[in-house]
Amino acid sequence: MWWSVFRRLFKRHPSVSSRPSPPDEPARATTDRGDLLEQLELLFNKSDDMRLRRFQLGDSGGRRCAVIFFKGLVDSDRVEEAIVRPLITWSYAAEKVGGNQTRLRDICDRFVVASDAKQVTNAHEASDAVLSGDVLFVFEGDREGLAVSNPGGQARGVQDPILEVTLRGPRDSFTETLFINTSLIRRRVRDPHLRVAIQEIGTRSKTSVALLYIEGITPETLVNEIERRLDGIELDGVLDTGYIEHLIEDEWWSPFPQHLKTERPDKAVAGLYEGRAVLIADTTPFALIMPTTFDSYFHSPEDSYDRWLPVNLLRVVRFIAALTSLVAPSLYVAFVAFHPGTLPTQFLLRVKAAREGVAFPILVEALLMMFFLELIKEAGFRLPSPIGQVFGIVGGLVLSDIGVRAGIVSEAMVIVIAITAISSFSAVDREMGTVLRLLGLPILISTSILGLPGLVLALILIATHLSILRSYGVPYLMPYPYFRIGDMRDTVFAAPMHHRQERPKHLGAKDKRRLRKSKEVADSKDEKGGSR
Amino acid sequence: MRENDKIPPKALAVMVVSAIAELNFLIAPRDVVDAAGRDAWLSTVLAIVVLLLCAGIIITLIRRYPDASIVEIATRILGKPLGTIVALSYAIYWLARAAYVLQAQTWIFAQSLLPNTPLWVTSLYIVMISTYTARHGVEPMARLFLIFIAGYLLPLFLMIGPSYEGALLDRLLPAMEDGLGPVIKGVWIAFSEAPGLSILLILGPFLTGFRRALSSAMIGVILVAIPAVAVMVIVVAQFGTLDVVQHVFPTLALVELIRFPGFSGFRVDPIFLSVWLLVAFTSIALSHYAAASVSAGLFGLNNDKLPIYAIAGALAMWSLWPVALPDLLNYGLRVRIVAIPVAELFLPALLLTVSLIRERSLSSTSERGA
Repeated sequence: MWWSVFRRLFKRHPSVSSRPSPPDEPARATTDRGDLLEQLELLFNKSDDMRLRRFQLGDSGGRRCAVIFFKGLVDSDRVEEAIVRPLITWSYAAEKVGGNQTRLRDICDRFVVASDAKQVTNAHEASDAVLSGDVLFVFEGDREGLAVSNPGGQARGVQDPILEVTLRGPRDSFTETLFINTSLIRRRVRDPHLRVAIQEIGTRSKTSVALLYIEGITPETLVNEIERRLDGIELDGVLDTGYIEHLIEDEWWSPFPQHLKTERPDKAVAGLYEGRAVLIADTTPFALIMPTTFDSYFHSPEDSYDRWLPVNLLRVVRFIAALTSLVAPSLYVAFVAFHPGTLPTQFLLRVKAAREGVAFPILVEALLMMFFLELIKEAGFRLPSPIGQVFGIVGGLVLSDIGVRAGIVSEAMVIVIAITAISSFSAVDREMGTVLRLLGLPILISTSILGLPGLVLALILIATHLSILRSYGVPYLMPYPYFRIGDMRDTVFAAPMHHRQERPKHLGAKDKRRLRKSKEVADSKDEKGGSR
Repeated sequence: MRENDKIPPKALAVMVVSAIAELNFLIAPRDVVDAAGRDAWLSTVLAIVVLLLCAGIIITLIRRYPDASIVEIATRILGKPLGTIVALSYAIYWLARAAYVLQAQTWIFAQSLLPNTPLWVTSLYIVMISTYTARHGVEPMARLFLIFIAGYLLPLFLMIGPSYEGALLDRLLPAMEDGLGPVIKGVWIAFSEAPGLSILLILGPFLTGFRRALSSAMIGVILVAIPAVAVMVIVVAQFGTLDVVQHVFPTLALVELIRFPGFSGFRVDPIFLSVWLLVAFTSIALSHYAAASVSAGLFGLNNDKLPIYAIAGALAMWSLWPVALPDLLNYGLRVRIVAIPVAELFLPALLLTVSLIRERSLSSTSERGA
């Protein structure tokens, strides 16, 4: 921050007259009324992947025209079938009967075989269309063209989710193609009120970003706020929803994620039905769900598919695991180093015996083990998956065994760190698991200074931060504050589906009811029948 | 006041518990038993009645000035000079209270858990977190403290349950054997051990409404009252009056007695003390915020950022005052028995009375005019 202030203070601003045209701005086609084809040729003259196919409509005296597209972005074969061949065939036939219409509107309406085509009126629009994967048809010397949608190119198909694996539930996951993703959601929400607002973000990447919400459920204030934040983004390229997430979140400096990320369409749709909004970007298989609360990072889509009793047990396990990953090393340090009297005597003697011969103080021992854990995890991720798994197991075993034998760490510390690692990996959301595990480090340092009070103080600090945090105006710790009974039905404990009749109040959904009991449904049907 | 910094009236219960409950649960039994003997429990019950009365007075007062904090309330009722003095007194009172709890807490840690750690380390750490909490306003505090309520009720529940073993309830009877005098003295002491209700005086502008505000405040008082009476009963029943006054912290001595079968050598008092830090912290943070809020009002500041940092500095310096724990407790008691009844009962009652009288005189003047 100080460096940026310093730079601002001493930065020399060039005078306006001497200022050269900025080379770092994205190349844009001019919008003056010249020959569109020439302008585009000039604009893309160094792009070898651009294809320009000139042809003539009719035998002699016909107008010369061209199609322009980028190889790989469109289906090249279909360019011939859908645009070039129908036009050439028609033009020869028309010439024989003496009429050769060359108005773009007529061509668009009568001869182009494509689901979507639109007229572009200047070079700027034309270049945008070509870059986003359209085929541009243009007459030589004309100022207008026809952008024909002809999607193609290579795209990954719908596959199993990789990070959010469940035993029960749908197996499809988002892909890198925006409209495949929106279709996966549409299949689950056959409601005309599902709105998909698409806009381009990224001055150079022009990434298509879709904001999805259900009109009548999602509060308008939320939609407006998201749109306002998206409009404020001026970034050159958006390569993943992560870019957008970092730019629109409420508190950028917080370690806690403020958007729920998912690769599962069912999870995104569950969010929509609760009154949240979903953001999908082209070229990324991860959708953002907003607003989010701390609680939602521990909910798995499976929780709604399985029986409520085992689900409750698993949720409690997840929450305990989260707490364990946060405080396990600190508790060990506090009890062993500061308050050994709190431990049962037999256990304390064993722990003390295990620590005999360990060369380092307990804090250094804990830090070393935490470092080893992160090292093995990081290396395991980077290696190809079969080797990574073997490396993780062998590396963990060998390092801990040798560490114990060499007197670097004690057996008890190995167990504590292993429990921490397992607990953090049991989190439903990978990012939240990592955040909690890493927050264990400042807690550990606080504990190593003040013992148990230090641990409590560090937890107070984290709890204070969580209570301050908001996601799109919704307090992060909702619904726990003020104990709204209706909202508490899907938190640490999940009530049976019969009792989850209302959407969470804190999300401010317009249509509050999501489930009507069978008797109410029957009554309402009777009423409708009676009124008829 | 920040955007969204509003709390529902039912959150007052949480704020009242957070404001009142602090180290008094550790300190008060000795002082009250010293004053009232075996009737300490009765004095505590009667002190709670006084606390409920205080809650009634303060809620009635802030309801009459719904958008006003103590600075505006006092100024409107008593005029600018007197009102400013009253508001300033409250700012100093809350600062002193936060500093006292902070200092006592750090001393308790130093004596019980962290003998080798300098006092200032704990003290500054707590002040830093208190500043961070107070900096973000009342609404996040209310939500945070609601979660901390578990840290208040759970240790008490876990302590009181096992402590019944070996407790002799006969030690509580007969009641009022020495007459009414010790009981009344005990009421005074017990009431002086429960400051915090006056913090309601700054919360008026933050409330979304006043419906059920009184009942919420009273629920808060009762949530403190029931464990307080239970602790008093169990302490006297377990140790007897003579032994209670020998302990600096009888409640802690009670915790030390707890044994779990199968866990030989297992002591829970460090855990109890550490968890109880949550309770002490809430009253420190609330008092910190209250002092800063009044200071901002006195200086006419729209933002309480600067006063919060200034109060944090004052708090840190005050808490580092070199005074030993016994002196701190004795001196604290002498100040409390005067300051707390004045700040929590007499001043609000005075403000309410003057306000009512002025209103009546205004209405009679207007009737005459009509």
